[in-house]
Amino acid sequence: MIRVKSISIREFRGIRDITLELGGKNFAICGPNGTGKSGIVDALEFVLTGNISRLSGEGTGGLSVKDHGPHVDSRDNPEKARVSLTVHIPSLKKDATITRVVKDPKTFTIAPNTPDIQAVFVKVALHPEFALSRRELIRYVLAEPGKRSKDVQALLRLDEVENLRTILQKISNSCARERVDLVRATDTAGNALRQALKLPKLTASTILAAANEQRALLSLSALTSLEANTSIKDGIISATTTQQGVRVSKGQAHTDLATLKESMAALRGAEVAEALENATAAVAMLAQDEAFLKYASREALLRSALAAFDDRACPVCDTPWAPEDFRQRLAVKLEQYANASSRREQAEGKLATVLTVLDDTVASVTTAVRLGALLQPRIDCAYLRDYGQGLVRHIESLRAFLPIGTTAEALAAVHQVPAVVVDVVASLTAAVLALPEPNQLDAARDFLSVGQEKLESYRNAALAAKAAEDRATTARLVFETYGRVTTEALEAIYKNVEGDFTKLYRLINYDDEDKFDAKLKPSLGKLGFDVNFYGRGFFPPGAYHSEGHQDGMGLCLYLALMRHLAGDGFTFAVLDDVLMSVDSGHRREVSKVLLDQFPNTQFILTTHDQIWLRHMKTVGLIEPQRFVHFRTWDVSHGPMEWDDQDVWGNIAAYLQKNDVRGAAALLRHYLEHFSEDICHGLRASVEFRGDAQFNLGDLLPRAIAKMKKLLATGRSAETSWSHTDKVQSIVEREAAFSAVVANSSAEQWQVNAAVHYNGWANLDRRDFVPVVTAFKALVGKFTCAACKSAFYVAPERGEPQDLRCACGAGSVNLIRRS
Amino acid sequence: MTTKKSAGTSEIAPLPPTLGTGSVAHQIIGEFLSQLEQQDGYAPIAKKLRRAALDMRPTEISIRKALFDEEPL
Repeated sequence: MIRVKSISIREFRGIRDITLELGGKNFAICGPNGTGKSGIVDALEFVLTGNISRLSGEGTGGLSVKDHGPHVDSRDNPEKARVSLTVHIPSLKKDATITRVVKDPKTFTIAPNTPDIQAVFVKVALHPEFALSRRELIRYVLAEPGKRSKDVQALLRLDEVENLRTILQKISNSCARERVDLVRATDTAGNALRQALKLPKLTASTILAAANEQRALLSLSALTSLEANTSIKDGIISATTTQQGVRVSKGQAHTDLATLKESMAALRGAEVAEALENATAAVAMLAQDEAFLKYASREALLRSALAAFDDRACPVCDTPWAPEDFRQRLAVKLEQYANASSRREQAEGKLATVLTVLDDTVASVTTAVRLGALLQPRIDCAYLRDYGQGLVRHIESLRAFLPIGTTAEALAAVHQVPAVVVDVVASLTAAVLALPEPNQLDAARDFLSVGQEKLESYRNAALAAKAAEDRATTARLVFETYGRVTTEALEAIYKNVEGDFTKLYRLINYDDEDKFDAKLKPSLGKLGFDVNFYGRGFFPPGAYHSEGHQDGMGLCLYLALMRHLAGDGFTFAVLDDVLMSVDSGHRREVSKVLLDQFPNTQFILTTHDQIWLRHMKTVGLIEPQRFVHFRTWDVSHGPMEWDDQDVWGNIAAYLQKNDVRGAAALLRHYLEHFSEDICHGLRASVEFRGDAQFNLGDLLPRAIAKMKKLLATGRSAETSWSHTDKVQSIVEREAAFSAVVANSSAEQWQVNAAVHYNGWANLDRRDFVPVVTAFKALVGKFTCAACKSAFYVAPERGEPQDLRCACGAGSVNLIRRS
Repeated sequence: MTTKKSAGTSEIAPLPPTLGTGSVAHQIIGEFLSQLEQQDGYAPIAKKLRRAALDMRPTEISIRKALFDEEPL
């Protein structure tokens, strides 16, 4: 998407004012801890996203970009804290500058402002994963599978896939439940219709036959067919009368009471008794299983929470959640309870028969209670109503299943019919019997009116059930298709990433793990990650591999994922101290992998380790001028570089204050740093130290001696080629070099370096200025006068061929004519 | 959304999260929609789902509307 050409940072985090010229190339930021490296990473993240992860992630309570983004001395002036980034956009072949101010982190300014450039910056802002820190890197490797899956999916922006899957699953489950409810309601309505028409079986022909028999009595034409809108009472003129017999249809009332008695008898019948016995046994077994009780209750809580979640906050504790995060977290937890869920479903299946009879009984009780209120005199149905309400509570307990003790109590109680209820039913039966018999015409009219009412209820219920069936079918097919396609796609992605990851890791560890292999195993809400440990089998990365290998795995997985995610758009990545544990041998290979495998990606790398920086430069990952090396930091000035101008200016400032001790310490520190680089670049022989702690006496004399030798070798080589002008030039350089060496008395230091170092501290400013001048001149002779880059020997290994500088103006050929 | 500040420069207000076309997620969802479209009778649903799933942030309400033409009560 972008390549960074330069960044300017003002009054931001620990930085006062710094501009880095990256030139769209790989760039290294090196320095000890606390010198400002991460401030630059923060600035990159801030200018591109408006956010600073370190101030807004987990465990950063009380911190904020607005309050803590500015330099501490500008905390009351957040408008001064700003970052500007100039980038090249390869896809547009354009340069653009984006600027963001901490005072208003959500807005940014771009120039030039065109829709295509806007779109690029908006897209980059949606991909904060361009920056990888070691903390993030290790989470890909060592996280538990559910967390890893989430992190990897977030990196690949697959949360959108999971979000849609969750929605489709929720809709499918909801439609399936709705279908069951409506089919049950249709069955109940069908039974009511069958009983009202006194039919053993409900078909169009039996309904027509029953209706036409009554219509004939009323001299109404016979119905020839039963369509969706056919009314079996068509032609009846409604009559109003105050007669009780008309208000209550004796025949229907009789049927309703008969249905009630049938239901109550069924509850005490053999079929329900057997179902109750089976269900009670299953429930009793589960009630004694502590593991089931523990997991089932948690599962129930999670399912309730899922159902009640309003896409904003947890319904239990009100903690705000992103919808996909909440559902994903609960999905992972629910999977842990799969066994409990399966056993619960088996037990619930044994309740089905009981629940059907209970539903029918409740419907009959409700009708009977209504009948009692219509009769004259009114029949008190309080006991019957209470009985019905008790059955409803039992039904709710059985359907809820938990707490399991309540379910067991309900199972024990459902077949019990209190005597007072039986008495009420008897009173209703007597009152209905006492109703005057309707004449044949009234009876026929009642039959058709009640029948039509039940028919309409049945039709409505059947229509609703059909619609629910259609919705359930659609939702299930869509969800299943989605599941199949996304599973295949994710498996393909992970297979691809797995292959790329393995290839990258093998390249880095070719010396000891050239047969390395890995397995990424996706499953619902999880991503398993096992690696082969030297042919001994597949294990989680943290099981046997060293911390350094794990760091390498994290980086390779990140790179493989990013390459898959962005493809050609993977043009920019920040690797923030990600390889602190990798040993030096493998760092070189990491540098090669970054250079060779990602030639179109600009890497910005931070490290506290100079050796790592040298590897990057040696391998060519970092060009000679594409790095910044911080030596120290203070709150007033921010990071300070190992930069000639910076250092000599600082030394002059010390001397200005007559602080010779400060100037001497800085000069010595700088010369040690400089000598290390020069010895490395010139391939100087230095006495080996296992702790890699070299002092100035170990280094500078070796560098001087090697430089003299290289110039002499170059002179000899050019002589062999008869390049007299070049020979003359080298001779002049040798003379100049010897002069500055002599002037600095450098060659004498090695006699007793400690005396000289301590001696510096006792010098007066006027005594020390010439020393500084002499060493500045000496340093200058190790660098090209034209390009200011330090000389180095090429190639890095093997027979030296050239003494080189970045521009070539100061290079010297070292190969003699054969 | 965008206010002119000076020639060639403008201040950009925060943009709503847009789903970058061509993202891995969109490729996967697009493949699903293509396969759904090939199922008998599901082409109209796939068309509506494409709008709900790719052109805006999908919600249960918007997906139900795409599947069943349901309006929230």
